[in-house]
Amino acid sequence: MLEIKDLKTNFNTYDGVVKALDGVNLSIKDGEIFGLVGETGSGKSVTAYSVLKLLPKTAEIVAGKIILNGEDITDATEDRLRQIRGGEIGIIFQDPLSALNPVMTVNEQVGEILVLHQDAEINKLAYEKEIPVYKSEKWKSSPGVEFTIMAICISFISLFTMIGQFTFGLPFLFVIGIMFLRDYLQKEVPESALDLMVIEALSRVKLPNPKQIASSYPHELSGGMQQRVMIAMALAGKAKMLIADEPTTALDVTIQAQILQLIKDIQKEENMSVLLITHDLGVVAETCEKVAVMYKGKIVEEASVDQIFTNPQHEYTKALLNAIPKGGKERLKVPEIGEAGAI
Amino acid sequence: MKLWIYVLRRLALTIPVLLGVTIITFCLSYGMGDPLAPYVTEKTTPEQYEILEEKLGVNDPIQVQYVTYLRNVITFDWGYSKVINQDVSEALRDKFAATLELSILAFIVAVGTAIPLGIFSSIRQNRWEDHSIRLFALAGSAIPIFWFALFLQYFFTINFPDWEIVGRRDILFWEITDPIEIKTNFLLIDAIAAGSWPHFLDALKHLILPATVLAYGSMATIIRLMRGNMLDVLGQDYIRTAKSKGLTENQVTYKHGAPNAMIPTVTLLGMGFAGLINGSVLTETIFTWPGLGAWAITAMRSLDVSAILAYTLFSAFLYIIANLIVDILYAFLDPRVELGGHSSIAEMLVVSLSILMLLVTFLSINVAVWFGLLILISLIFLGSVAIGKRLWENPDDLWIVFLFSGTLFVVLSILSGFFMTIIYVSTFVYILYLGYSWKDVKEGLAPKFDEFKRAVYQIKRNPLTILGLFLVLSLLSIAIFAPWLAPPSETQRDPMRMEEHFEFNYNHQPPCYFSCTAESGEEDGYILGSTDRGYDIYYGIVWGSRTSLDVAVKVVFTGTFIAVVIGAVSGYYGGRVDDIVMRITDVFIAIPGLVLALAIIAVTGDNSIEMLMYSLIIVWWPGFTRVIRAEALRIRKLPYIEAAKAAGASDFRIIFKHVLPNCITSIIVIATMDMGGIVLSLAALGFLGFGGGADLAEWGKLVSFGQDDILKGEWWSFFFPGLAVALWALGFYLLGDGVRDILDPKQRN
Repeated sequence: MLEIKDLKTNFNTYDGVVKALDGVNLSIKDGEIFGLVGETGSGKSVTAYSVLKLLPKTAEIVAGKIILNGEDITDATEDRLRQIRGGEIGIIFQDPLSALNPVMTVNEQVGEILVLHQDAEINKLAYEKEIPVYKSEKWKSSPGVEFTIMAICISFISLFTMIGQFTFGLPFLFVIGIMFLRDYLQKEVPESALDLMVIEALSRVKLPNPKQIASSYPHELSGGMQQRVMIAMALAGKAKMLIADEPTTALDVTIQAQILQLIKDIQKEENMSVLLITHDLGVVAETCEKVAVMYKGKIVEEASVDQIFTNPQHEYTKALLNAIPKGGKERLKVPEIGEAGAI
Repeated sequence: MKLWIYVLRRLALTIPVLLGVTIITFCLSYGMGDPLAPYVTEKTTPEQYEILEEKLGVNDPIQVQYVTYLRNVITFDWGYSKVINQDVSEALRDKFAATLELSILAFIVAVGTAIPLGIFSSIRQNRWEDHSIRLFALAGSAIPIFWFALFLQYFFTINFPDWEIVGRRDILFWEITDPIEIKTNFLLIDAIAAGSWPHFLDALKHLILPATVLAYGSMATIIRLMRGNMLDVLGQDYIRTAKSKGLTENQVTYKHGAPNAMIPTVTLLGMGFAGLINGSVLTETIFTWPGLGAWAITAMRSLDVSAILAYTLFSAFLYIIANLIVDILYAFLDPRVELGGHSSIAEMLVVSLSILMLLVTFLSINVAVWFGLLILISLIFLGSVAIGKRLWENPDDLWIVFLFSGTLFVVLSILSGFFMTIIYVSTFVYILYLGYSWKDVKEGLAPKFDEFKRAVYQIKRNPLTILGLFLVLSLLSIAIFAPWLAPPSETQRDPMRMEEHFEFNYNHQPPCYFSCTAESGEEDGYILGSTDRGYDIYYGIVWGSRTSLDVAVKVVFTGTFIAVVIGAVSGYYGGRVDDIVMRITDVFIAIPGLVLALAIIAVTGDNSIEMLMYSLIIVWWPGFTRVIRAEALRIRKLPYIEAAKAAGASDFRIIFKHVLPNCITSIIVIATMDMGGIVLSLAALGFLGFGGGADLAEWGKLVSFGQDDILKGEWWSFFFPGLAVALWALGFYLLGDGVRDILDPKQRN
């Protein structure tokens, strides 16, 4: 599915060039949950962002190859990249609240990705069910614009009334009348195909009452619901691969388990590939089939989950496993090791 | 439904503020010398004088006078304006349309161009497009509005002699050649109603210049705001999410970035409206626009008290309405805003008491007097009991009392001449201290050296900061070396006062730049020309820098002291203290700055530079206090303050060791920028003829001398002094911007 060969990404900072990725090699097969573990700053997230070219402006990929389904996308055009983002690879982030746009409803945000990658499907559904394709309320703008128009009209009417020239306020009264008439005529509008698709996407991630959630803003939802919305969004474009960048770090322990279970279920249903980035070995043990350990921008060990936990090969992996707190035992620190060895 | 409750609550909250504004305007009228003076002429008989006294209630006790004034205000009996021989309320109605037409057009131009420019600048950050837009915006804030207006007038007189540069319409054309009915006094609307294209064109032609002038300043502020907010938003996580969906760069910027960046911009549009009111005073005066601003200036020059008070009150009213609309708009734009609100009992009490006070005033003056006195006395009693109780229970808090008396001492010493002595002494002591502990200082500096290198790198990366530093340093050295740059002649008693020359070869002289030395070797002519009274412009600019420096330093230092102490204490303690301080600042901020300063100067009738300084301080401190208070409020909720409290630190220690050092960045940045802003206000007041005598070396005043000679093509007398103001303001704005970039840890990458 996804293959990364000798990827090198640099950050240009004030203190000089920082080698965030120093020759990363990865290979994720179809229908596999692949774990990527390592400490903070080891380059896990940079690997994921390099694949989708979501890096900040100061970063650049200096060497290596990224191959998606046999296609080299290292130097892909901006158009091709946009097809891949959301269409072939979906991504979810650490903190769902800050990753969702605060001023757009869930409906708008999920709908956006559907319009981008599932336009044909929406049109088909609309044709079959004979319902409107997109927004069914016509001639309506955002509440801010609506209010501004209303405020301007009211001020002009009162102004002209004050100076005794009410007739000049009539056009503004007319505008207000039309706005009310429009709202009255569209009181009961049929749901559009896009709305139906959004609701379907939301129910896929097992959100209760998807219709109500679709019309709410991100801050009105709980952390677990927000992350579910993120997953729904990442999957809405029928992506065959999901990158989960520390999806459970910002959540409660009970919610963590639910979200991981959800990712596992969906992976099984759709036979997707998942790249799960985490610093939590417990999460890896629970979820993944294969795992790679990252340290200072390099993959130091790659093996199946069983192997990593029973028979770790690399010094750093051993240290990492020892650092897991166990009942009664004193907690050990992850020691610095001189040079990270090859795999 | 909830939204309507929010709107009602916001509406109710404006009533106490309006009541507070009437108290200020009343104090203004009371501070003025003889209230009868405007009505009395040589022909007034003693009997008439007594009748006047009776009618105006001059001999009544102060509380009765206030309630009478309040009653007049709420019944729209706003007095009689003698400069235009018209009732004030009638005049307001007539002139408001002219001002509003100008302001609306300027507002549309400003917002319509500034928001796209701000967005564009942010997506091209640190490239040449960004640098030029930033420079354009900074110039808009730095260029004095009156100078820009005169510049445009000069340009149009020279290049388009047919273009009328003053007035609102071609009166001959509108009244005699082709008269149409003027119903609304919005000339554009009237022209449309009459269906006459030439009239519309004529009105628009007259509108364009003043609207451009008025728009530029607000435009500059909005561009800078929008750019900053946009940069902030583009670094957020949800922008990355939007990119990961496969949206194009433009879709990400305009659909996800811009709406989020608009929210904080909108909250400051109300402030931009105050800028428009301030600007309209100057613009209307220059373009002889028959609006409120021009009327107010005429009234202020001839002590037409009821007009001055009415204008102050009315502009406060407009500003409050604008802020009300903006607040409600904000609730619509940002779904996160809490509509439920924190309406406390104190708030409800204040609102209901104000409403009751207004009602009682409307019904009976006598009852209102007693009612008002009762409220006042109980407020004072409750306040002193609360303070006394607190001090009795926590004697440690006595330091606040010492703090305030210390601040008072500092403020007084800045305003008196004592200030410089303190500065010299403390500098001397500091140098002694450095010499005494040189080893420690050297060790202490070692980690700072890295910071310094970083700062130099930041400055090097930003050429605009270097320009700002250069401008500030050169203007400061002009002020310091004034006696050598422009030596005063032997006949001058005070070098700050310019010499008048009425001989024909001294006034209206064009500049001769570097070739002023005649063949005989004597100085002949003026380096930068001379004005109509024969003032040497070069001399005025050089010595005027001392006036600017003096006023700016004193106002900024006192303002900062007051603001830091009050803001930090109020923000840190919160609660009732904070409520009271905020309500007071609300009232002051409700009146547009320049208007209040003008009203104070006009009403006291004291045209000295000291009075101008006091008025600027009165206008300046509330805004600054609010910034510091907001910072303190933010910081006191941070975990490290909790940690300091848990470690047993006293309030004094927390405020001075933790809260203030953490808002020092904003204090320094705002103080630096205000050094420029104060000089702009000083020049604006000077241009309108306030502050110091006519011969005081002051830049704004010099510009005003050149105003009448534009039609003759004498450009030097308005150009050079205005340039000095613009460079001063630009220098400090650039420096402030640069300092923020250096001190803000978020900018390091």
